[in-house]
Amino acid sequence: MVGMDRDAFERIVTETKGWVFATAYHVLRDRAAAEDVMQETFLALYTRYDELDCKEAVYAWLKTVVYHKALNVARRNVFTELEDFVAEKIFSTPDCTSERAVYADQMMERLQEGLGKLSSEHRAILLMREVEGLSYEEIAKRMRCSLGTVMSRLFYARQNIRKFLERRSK
Amino acid sequence: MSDLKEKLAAQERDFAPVADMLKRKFEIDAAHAPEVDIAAIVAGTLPKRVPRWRGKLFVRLAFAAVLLLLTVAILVSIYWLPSHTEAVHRLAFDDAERLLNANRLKEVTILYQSGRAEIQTDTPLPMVWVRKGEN
Repeated sequence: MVGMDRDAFERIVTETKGWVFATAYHVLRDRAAAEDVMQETFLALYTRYDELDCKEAVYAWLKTVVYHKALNVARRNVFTELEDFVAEKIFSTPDCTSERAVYADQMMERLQEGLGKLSSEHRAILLMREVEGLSYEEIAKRMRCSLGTVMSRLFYARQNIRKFLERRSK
Repeated sequence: MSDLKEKLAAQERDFAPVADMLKRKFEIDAAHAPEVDIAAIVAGTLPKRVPRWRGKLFVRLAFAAVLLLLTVAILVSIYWLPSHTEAVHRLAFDDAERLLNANRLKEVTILYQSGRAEIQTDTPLPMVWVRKGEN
């Protein structure tokens, strides 16, 4: 294994591991699987760094790789049941004592639940648009699908999340 | 397409509060990211993840194999094994004859015939299935 300079690798890992993990986790909704995807993504970066044409585009490359790896795992897991969500562990911050914080946490849990009703592809597109702020064209390029597919999936994903939240609020 | 774009733009405005929550959730998840095993990656010893479907597939295959074996065992016991549990010995014809002469057996059932010609008949009788008869 030739790989890249260890210091540079560590720096990239430190800077990017948060969103690499969060991206995988949003697509998969499974902490253990997301952690595996994160490790594999960084392994791919370390082993294939020399093959990258443009070293400056390493962050964009990482984003594409983590999405594809997570979606591949999600497709493979079609016949398996994903583990239960561990929201209470993630959101159990000590300052969440006020009513507002509790309400926000409830909303967040509902959102998490709603995201669970979507397919991994829909979650990925929603994440790219709402969190990363990518354009439809950029999403289509990253997902390797048509512009129409991106738009219809995004429309469907938002509509379903919203319907779910409205139902749960009643 | 333009119609869908307009719908999406309108939807985006309504969806803004949810999008904010989604961003916050993403940040919380990112802050809780586990450690990357840099040492294992650099050393090339990062254990390869075994997809869970493969494990489950193995269990399913094993289960199917056990079921198949059980089915075969049941079919064999029904169609091939002799139904009489009293059958006690499989003897060469000479041994059977000796036992008959010694009055130790009451009945000899011949199951199949081939090979050498022997006593009582010209038909070749290499082996017999001997059991204690009711006669």
